[in-house]
Amino acid sequence: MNKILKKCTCILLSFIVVSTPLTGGAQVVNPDTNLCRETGIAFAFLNGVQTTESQANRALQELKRIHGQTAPGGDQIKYETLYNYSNGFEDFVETFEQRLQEQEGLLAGRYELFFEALNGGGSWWSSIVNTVSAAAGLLTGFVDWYKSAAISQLSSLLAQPPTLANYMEHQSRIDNWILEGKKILFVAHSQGNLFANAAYAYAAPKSAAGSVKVVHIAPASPTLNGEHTLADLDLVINGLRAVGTVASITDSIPGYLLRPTGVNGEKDLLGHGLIEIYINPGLEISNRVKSHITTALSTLVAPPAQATSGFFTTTLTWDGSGDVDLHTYEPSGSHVYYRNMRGTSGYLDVDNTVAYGPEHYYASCDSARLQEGTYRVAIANYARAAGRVATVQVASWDDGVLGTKSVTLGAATGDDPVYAMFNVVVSKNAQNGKYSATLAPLAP
Amino acid sequence: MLKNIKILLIASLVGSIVACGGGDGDSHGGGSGGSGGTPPGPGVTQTPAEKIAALESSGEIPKLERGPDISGPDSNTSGVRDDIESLLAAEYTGARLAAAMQAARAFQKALLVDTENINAVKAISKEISRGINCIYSQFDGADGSKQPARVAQELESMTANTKDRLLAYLKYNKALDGTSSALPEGDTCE
Repeated sequence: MNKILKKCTCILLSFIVVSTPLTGGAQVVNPDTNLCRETGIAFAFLNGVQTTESQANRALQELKRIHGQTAPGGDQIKYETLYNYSNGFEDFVETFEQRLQEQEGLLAGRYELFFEALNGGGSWWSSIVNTVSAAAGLLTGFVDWYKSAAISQLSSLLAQPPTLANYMEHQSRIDNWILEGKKILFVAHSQGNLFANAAYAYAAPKSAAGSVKVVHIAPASPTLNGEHTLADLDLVINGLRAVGTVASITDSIPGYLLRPTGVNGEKDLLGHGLIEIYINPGLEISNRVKSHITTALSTLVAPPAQATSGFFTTTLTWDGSGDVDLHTYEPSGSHVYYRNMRGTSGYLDVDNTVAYGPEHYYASCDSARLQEGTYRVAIANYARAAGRVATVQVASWDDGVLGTKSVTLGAATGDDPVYAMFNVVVSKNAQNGKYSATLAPLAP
Repeated sequence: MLKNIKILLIASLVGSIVACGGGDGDSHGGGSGGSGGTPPGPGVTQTPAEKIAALESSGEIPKLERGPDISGPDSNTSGVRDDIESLLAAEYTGARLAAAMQAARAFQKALLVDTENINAVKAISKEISRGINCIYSQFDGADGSKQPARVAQELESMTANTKDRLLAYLKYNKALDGTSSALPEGDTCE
């Protein structure tokens, strides 16, 4: 359709038309050449306080071990992390250093004990304490300090809850899940619940009823959008209770000495850890968490899909009215945009000419169609979008988000995409035949 | 109120019992040094520092390089610090050793990545994720082997074993604040 004609049509229809799924649409891929696993549920984990990204990754791996790749209703599950870093985490190192200097510097310089100490000890600490009893004081002193610091940190976060405006990549990822018709389950632990509530508030109004759910674990927030689990001896949340309102206790757990260790070999003196307490198969409380997640997975409602999942996808959104266009130059030379929605490897399957977006390109999961090489992703202010902030997110079916980038748009340039956003390289491993999508630097 | 008192009592109990150590405390002198290390001869008193050294020698706690540079020595350019590689080789074999080395190599890169370059940071994150996924495919906690979560946690801790290394590692994590990633699928072992 001629862009001007389309533009005029869309102005006339702007009160009822938001995004236009195009006919490039649903891909039917021969199973023998299908590079992707079709997934219906996005299982999004939001980590707790003082957690490294790798620790969040491990927690998600453990949740995957428990719940598998297939939901009770048969939907395939894709596990993703929406990571948050605790502000001031690095400041804890200073206090830990001071503790290590105690007892005449017995453990000075042994920073490998740091992460175990955050969980109240582990096998290394046990070996040390069993041999040099004075070391116990170092650990308990640090844990006592850490408990107060964590409570203070969570209190501050409660006073000023995070907003998704500060977490652009999470927001864009949620947009993409909704666009592709995914059921969404947010599973949150500790401070992750604050982020989950913000994510739920963003996603639920945009998606069909019942297609977004939250499971709260050790919630550091009185606001709940789903079932929750909280241990009576969770000393971090109990500390928050002393200064405000928190969710009700649901389960009793044994005291520290009687607890079995979690799969990481730790017990968590504070009773707050996800692996150590809440999904520890040796503790009854883990059954409640498992039940909540299983129920949520089996009762999520499928929302309508506006776009197709692909080997990799590119999603464009912007922050107001105007017509911004997504352009993809495929390795074959095909230029995929609103005038040419079908390329050699992919399709522009959602176009928007009115406001906010989204626009969506997907590269085929069919190895018979997907080309190796570089896909150049660019955008243009076609019209009426000067000053708007446009955001592009590239994600692969396997790795999730590869990159997210925003630009403030200048004057309209029509069909000339002057904003180079990403170079996506699709390659095939010669040894194992596996395809991958990675980002490459933009040309200077 | 009663609950708070109970919590305090439990915490105190834990502290005191942990302090007792359940084994030979250093206050006695002449202890066995726990379950590891070379037992001292009769009448010989080990200092606390000697007991810690004995734990290192026995492998109960890792004996690590603590030089001032973040990268540390890697004499065979394997991408893994020599001390960590030596510890892994002593504990694991075959596919499990390869998985641990793959993840260790990725963790090491996290210390050195340019945290201003988010694409580079995310690329390291994916390498770590693939390494951990490989560990989960090789370790299952059965037949007395370590659980994969413990294997990965030890690698993370051993990599960030000095103040500078730990701060560099946390800086890398801070750069990932607000990002999203997916668990990789299939065989991610290299």
